[in-house]
Amino acid sequence: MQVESKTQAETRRTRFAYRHHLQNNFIWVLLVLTMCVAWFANPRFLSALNLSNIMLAAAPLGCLVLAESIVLLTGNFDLSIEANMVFVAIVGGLLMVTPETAESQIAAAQWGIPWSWPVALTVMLALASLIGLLNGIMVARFRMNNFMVTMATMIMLEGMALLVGEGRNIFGIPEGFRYIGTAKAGAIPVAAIFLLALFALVRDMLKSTVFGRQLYAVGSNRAAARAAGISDTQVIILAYVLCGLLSGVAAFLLVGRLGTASAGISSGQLFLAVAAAVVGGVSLFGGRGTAMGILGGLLLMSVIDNAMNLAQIPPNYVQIVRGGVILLAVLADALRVGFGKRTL
Amino acid sequence: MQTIHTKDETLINARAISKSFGHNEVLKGVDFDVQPGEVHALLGENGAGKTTLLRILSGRYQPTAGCIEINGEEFSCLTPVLAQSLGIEIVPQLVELVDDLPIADNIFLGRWPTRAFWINHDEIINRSEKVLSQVGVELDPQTLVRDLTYVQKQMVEIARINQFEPRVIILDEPTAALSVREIEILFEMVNRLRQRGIGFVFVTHYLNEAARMSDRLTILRDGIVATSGPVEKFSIQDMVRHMVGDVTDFCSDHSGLSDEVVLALQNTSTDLIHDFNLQLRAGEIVGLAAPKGEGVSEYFRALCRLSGKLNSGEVIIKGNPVRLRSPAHAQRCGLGYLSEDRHQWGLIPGRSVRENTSIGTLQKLVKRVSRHLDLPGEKKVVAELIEKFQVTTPGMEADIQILSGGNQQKALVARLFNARLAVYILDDPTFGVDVKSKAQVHRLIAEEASQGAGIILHSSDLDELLQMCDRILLIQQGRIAHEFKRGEVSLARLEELHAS
Repeated sequence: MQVESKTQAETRRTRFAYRHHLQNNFIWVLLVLTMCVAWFANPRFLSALNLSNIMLAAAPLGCLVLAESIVLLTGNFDLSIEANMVFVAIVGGLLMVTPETAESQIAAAQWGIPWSWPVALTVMLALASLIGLLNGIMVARFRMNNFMVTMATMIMLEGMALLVGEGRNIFGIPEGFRYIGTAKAGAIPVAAIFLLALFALVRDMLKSTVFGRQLYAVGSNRAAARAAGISDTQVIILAYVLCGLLSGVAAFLLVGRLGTASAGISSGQLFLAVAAAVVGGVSLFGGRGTAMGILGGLLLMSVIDNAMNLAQIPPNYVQIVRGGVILLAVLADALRVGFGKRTL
Repeated sequence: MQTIHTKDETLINARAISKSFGHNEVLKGVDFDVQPGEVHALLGENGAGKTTLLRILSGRYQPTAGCIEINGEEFSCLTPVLAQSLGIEIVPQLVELVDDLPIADNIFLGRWPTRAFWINHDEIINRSEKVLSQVGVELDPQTLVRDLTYVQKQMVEIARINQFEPRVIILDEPTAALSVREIEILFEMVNRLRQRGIGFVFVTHYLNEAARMSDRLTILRDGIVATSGPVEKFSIQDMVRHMVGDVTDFCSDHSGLSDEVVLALQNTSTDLIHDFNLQLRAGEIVGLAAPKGEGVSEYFRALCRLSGKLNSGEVIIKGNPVRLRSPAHAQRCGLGYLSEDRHQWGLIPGRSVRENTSIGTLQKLVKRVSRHLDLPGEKKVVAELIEKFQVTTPGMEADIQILSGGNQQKALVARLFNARLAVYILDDPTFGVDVKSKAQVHRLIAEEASQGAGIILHSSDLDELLQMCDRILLIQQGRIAHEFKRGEVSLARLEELHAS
């Protein structure tokens, strides 16, 4: 957030800073307005139970949004985040379900080694990061098209998820693993606290680490960043690795919440994640976006979904509204970039 | 065919033009006129109001006050369409033609003669030949615009404009991208057209060219006419004085040449540069003069591994042979590069002046334990750099894109010099930079050399090389054709060699 913009006399520049300020905080104004509308439509919206439900549902999606945003900041795309999440969820499930914990014998028969769940979690996160690493190497080092590379890995991962999981539901996830996904501290879900902590970490990384600065620089102008002595290839690869890691974390939260893993635990979350990032002000052209904006985008999308759900709007209409919100966000992105160009 | 204007008739007469944007008064009562057959140079630093005046004359801006008299008629403001119908045409700084269409189609762009529904190609080509020959251009109208040199594109654009029988043609920085030879071609064409009574407005940063080409000049400074009159009355120094206001030190002395060789290039080659050898000593500024298209910029980018790589040869930095892998690696070895194209290889748009300035040296700002950036420390460093490099900005948080070209360039020079390297390669560091900023950049380069850095300076401005450099290497056909020590060569001689 560029709150500290100092301006001197000139009105043009004051106006520029003011507009800049408004652009960066607009999402929160919109969020409050949407919440007011939702509250009027159905007073139950503001109940503790509903708010906690929103946060619980937003947690895995939130990780995906962060994952996608980090790659978007470099000016690249990652279509494989959701497939990555589902794949490592299944691998993790197979690893941690042992005959003692398994409620059904279906899945336990496979890899039922009595490993503790922390080992399974570590493997999940490592595997997810490795997938990100491979994406990153292909995109940054081999200069393959990011869209096509991650689309191909998405398709592969979907196939691998079905292959490994044999299309079945894996039950019997250990309680310890499920703690963060399900527990509540008072009325607040632990997953929500975890997610906020994750946002705080990313915010810190973007604002005050060398890597954060390099992400913005590479996304804004890769050639210039390279000329300024930034190892552009490494930055993009690392962004993909972080993206993969966060997809793994999303799998952790999702499996924890659902208590099961299968190829069908998630669908359509990829597009919601991209949409929430763009709604939150992350530019598809790279180099623009803040952690606070991303959080705003995530909450706005979640609130809109929840409010329509409460109002019992049929799912088909929900789809249409979602699409409309995304279109508006992309329009805002295009205008923002146009605005930047005009001041040249 | 052509309108011949009588000599006493003023083509365009703008009187007491003022223009404000909000509280910002850009033009304050400017008078400007163009007589038939004359070339009127419009000079001034960036931000002096040249562009605003051009936009008012071509109808893109409406003046806040004043009037424009064209052809005896008075207008309080123009629109682009009205200006064109009154015979005022502008050739923009970057000529935009459709690269994938032939010259003929570009000349009739959007007005192709048709036969029934089909474009009549024979007629386009016949008429294009006429249009081209009217301005004395010998080009095949069927050539793709993509295959033309920049000056040829400009000529096609002027030929295209000429068919509308213009009274005044405004040339906005026409020579910025041209070699000395090409500038001659352009000037010849302008001379041919002015015989027919067309008046030219010639906007340029290059004072030599203004002095050579124009009959009259008007110098704007801070939105007022600083001076105006026949060009013979002004020396280059006079022009600079009027543009800048007070006399700045145009000369840049540096001392402290040592014997230590900081950079040695041995038989280095790219596709266009062959067997380039150089021994650069600490504290030395070596100038490279090369016509455009000689591939010097590409050579530098290959040397620093910004794009491509050297075909052969050895690079020795401070006595150590190195195989550079990336610009980052080059900087660690002590070699820094500033590109001639700040938009492509320099600026990080959408980010603040602070981030743009500190991005090259972030590692110095990392706190030891937490590995985080020292943000207050960064602000301090950037504030010092802004002060030292005299970057004019509304604040360090402003987007780098809102700065003027000169200030953007100073910020980039600050970014590079703050890395404190042994060798700097500066590729046309004052290209498109106003006179005052230019003098400041010169001073900063000289200072850096005085402190022991070795500097390679490539410039399209030969005057700049003569002032700044201890040695000048003239490159022709990819090889060093001549080498001069400081004071061994005159500007005239260098220009002659450069053009041959």
